[in-house]
Amino acid sequence: MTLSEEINNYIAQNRYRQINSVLVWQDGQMIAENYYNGFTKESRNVLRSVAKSILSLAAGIALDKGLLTGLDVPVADYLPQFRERRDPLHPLITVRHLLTMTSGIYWNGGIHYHCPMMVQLRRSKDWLNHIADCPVTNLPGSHYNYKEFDVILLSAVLSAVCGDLYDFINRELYLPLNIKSGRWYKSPCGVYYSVGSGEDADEKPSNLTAREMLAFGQLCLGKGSFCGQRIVSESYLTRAVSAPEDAINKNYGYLFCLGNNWYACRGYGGQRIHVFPEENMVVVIQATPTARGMAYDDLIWKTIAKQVL
Amino acid sequence: MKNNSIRIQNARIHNLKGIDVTIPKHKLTVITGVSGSGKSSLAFDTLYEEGKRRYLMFSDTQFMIDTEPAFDSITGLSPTVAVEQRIIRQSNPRSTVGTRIKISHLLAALFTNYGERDPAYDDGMPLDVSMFQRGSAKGMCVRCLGKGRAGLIDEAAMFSDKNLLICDIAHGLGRGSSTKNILSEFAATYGFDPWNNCIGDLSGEQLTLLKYGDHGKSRFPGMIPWITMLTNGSLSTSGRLAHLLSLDGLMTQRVCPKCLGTGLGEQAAHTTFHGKTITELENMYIRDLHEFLSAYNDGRNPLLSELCTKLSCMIEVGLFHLALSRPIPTLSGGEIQRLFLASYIITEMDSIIFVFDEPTIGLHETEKENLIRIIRRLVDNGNTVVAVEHDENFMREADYIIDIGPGAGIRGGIKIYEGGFTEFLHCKDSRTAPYLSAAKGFPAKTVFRPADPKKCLTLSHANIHNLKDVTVKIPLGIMVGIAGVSGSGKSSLISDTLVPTLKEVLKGKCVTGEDKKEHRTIDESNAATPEYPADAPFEFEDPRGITDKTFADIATPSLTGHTAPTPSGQDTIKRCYVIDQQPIGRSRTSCPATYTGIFDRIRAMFAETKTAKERGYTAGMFSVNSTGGCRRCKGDGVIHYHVGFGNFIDIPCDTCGGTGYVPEAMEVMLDHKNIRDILEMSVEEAFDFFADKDENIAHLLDILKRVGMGYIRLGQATPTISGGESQRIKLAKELAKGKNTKNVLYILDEPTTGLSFSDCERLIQLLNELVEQGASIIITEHDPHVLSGCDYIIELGPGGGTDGGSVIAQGTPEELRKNKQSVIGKYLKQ
Repeated sequence: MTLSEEINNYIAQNRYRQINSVLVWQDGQMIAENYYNGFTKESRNVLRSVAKSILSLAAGIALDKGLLTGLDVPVADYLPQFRERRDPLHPLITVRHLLTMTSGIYWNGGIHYHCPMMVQLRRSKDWLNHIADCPVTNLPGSHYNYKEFDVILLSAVLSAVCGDLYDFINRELYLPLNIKSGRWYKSPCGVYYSVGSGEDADEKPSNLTAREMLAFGQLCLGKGSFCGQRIVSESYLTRAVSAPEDAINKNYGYLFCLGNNWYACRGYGGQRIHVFPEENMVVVIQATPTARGMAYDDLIWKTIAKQVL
Repeated sequence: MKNNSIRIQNARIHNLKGIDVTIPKHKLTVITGVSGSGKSSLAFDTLYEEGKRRYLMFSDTQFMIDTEPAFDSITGLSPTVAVEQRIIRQSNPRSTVGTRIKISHLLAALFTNYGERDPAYDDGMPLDVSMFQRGSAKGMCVRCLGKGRAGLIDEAAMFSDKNLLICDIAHGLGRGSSTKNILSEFAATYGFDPWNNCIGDLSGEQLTLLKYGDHGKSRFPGMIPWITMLTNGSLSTSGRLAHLLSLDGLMTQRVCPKCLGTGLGEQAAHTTFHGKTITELENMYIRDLHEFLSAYNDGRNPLLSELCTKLSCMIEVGLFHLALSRPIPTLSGGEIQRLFLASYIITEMDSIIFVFDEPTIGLHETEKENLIRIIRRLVDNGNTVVAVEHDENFMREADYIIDIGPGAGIRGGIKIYEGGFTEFLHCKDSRTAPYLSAAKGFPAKTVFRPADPKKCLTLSHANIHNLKDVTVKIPLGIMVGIAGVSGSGKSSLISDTLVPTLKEVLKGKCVTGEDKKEHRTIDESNAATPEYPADAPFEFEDPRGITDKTFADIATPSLTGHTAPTPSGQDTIKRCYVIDQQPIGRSRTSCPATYTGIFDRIRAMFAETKTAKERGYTAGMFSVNSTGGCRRCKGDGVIHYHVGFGNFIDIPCDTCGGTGYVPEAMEVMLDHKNIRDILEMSVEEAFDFFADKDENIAHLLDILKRVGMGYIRLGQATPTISGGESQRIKLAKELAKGKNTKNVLYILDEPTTGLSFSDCERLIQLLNELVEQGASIIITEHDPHVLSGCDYIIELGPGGGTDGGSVIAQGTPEELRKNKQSVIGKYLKQ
């Protein structure tokens, strides 16, 4: 049985009806490319939090270009709302804290887009002002807490240094990778946030094909180079997909999830770009998100890993 | 017959000596007896526990593990509900009167559907119920997280004293072990010495670094961020540092600038119902709120009708003086019980067995009549009510009386009487009946000690809460009672005005329960686990550090502008003891023996025995908190299982056999008793046991007996000790110190709660003895027996809440009886 067949069987057996595409790429070759539910290689699927990892590399590029002067720069240097000392801990929050989800800003209610904190944020007139009003309940850098606020702030910081953030990502990252994405959702107060309100229409322009997701994975596997072109420095990429000894959360890099000999971009509802550097392999999964927030990592471990690793 | 009564056979839990009782259904049964005689063991531990168990097993929602049966049979049971006072200890600190009784949900729904939105804040999207709930993450103000207020550090004041050593800033924060090391490191990096340099020694740059840190380069984040973390962030556990800084004026609790104290998000804070925001409505006294809403209730709006019905039930049970925003942990046990009572009235069930624990506690005589009427209505609706009660009027209303006694502990547990009230009066064996039949009766005071106008404590212009510019002279050297209906301002006058004022002028000579907690150092409070300090469930204090009072003050800013009352006449007070109803001790394993200090002596006696010496056991072997504690249950003796829906089951720990001790500790005997046997003794038994062994222990136990605590077990766990009991144990501890009581002022808050007539009489006698020795006593009280025993009464009123706050009568009990203005007067004993 080929890997492709085995994947088909596994999905059928487990009745994973939401999976739209599964791609396995190893040693420079596509070894499985399966589509379901009428999906083709042109079909586009939501990114969800995979966009976080894309922002991470955008930050790396901004750093390489000297637009960001460092990762330990206070966020307050770029965002005036954080200069007012609404919270005494605001001056301590740095860009690195945003990349590692350790800003310490209050967060409640799980990790998903419909969480109460996002409901309130979306009803506020000015997102950054709203986040700056939230208390910092942990010393910045001391406590990992996966939250949208940190990513929204990072998006705002990058906008402050890179000009229009979508143009920057498109020019510096998507064009060299041959990714054709529409303009990301921008909030009425001017913050790029690809998920938007969580409604289809907001999110749709940022959707990518499975192969485009794969290209992003290949860039990571290539340590920042793609088809011989250097896109982001190796030093940034290496750090983004690993955690130092003293990291607060050893399973989180710079907006990348880390595992044992693998790292991944993960999005709600089962979106995955899973990179296995030692096996020189990238796995992409796209799926239609459900309210239950299904994930299909077992597919990777029970079929692909069994055959390939 | 079977269907008309509940029959319990051979009940033998705790001290019950195999008694059989028959409780008539659809009647009001009162269980009487001296404190500790076994009333609660019968009503709660037998009847209620079994009723609950059978109902839950039948409804199949729970699993239940059969523990050793405490009776032979119970027949005629129907679903049983306990209306206890102790629920407070399991209550979520965020729950309020409104959330607990679900009125807040209704109000939220009312605002969601009928609220008028300020166009400036109308985002065009529909409102949601959760937006009006400050406890909900969707509704709370993100700045103050629903609290409505935030602590603000006064930076200028904190660094104003140029001669202050750096380690002494913010109440010696730098000396605490959690700060010490990181501050030393930081200081070494920037070239100063926190232990020898003053603020004035620092350069401008160093001072800025000290205040705000170096952007995370060092572990020390800077004084201001660090204090913020300790007081407001996740490291904050007890609110202690915030409390200390507030006392020093270095931190002020200000209204949250984002939500202006509403605790809600923008849209909700700008939605009104007939001109009032939901927060304004929640801060109103329930009676005023009822009046406000009734005006718009034309019967066509079901939400409004429902709200009015529920509020009128609250008023009926005498809770009109509370606001919906009042946090549950600040309610008295009596208020909690009535809150639950209100919710049962609202549901209008029948054929339920209600078990009450002294429902009249904390009620004024006029309110008691009302309560009795409500309970009577429950019975008339087809329910069965069983109440453990000491109140005379309540007993007179009973259809059926069960008297347990005759004494407490091993001297009780026998059924003395069972039958109607009239025949009960002739029951000679009961210790209760003689008081009712006036065969004994309280020796009503006829000679009152005169108030010496030269020896008076004067409080002028007290304005806090509902007090209306009260100026009052409290005579010293005699026993003064403070009376008034619930919410009339008794506590505002005594706990919130007199005590803080005395604390200020007497400083360390004024001892309150709070001070003892403050002896904990900052580091101890920080060392506790961030989320759940081990002792949190038993703390009355709101972990957020706000009491209902501060909350109300903030929510209605107009209240904060009161002028501080000025005292005079305090010169003659040598010391002052404020003895409140806060629990004794903070940990699960604290008990009367540990609190009073006799346990240290007992353990030392055990360590001195021949066996202990031979085996090399120290006193620690006899403490469950030390080497002697069972490893499995950590000294509790039971393993606590959560079985869902807020219910717990305790299974005796089989490693230690439920003793909490390791077997080695249990093998050591002191006069044929091991350590556990001694902890199981009641004070009376222990007194006999220690009388010839240790003078100090015997002395303390004797005083415990005299304050009416003869029945309590030495090892009784703090959570099962009522507020009244705590207070009497504290009083005994103070008295046992044997200090000269001349010119000492004792401030007590309903000290006779939960005491039977005979115990109550003994306590009054003891208090009178204290006055004879030169002490002054101020008692906040409802009980007419106690008030009649005072020399002088100051009565506040006339009503509660906005209707109260004035002194309506003062004088001797005799004068009050004749005073037409007085409400309590006609209830006083002659």
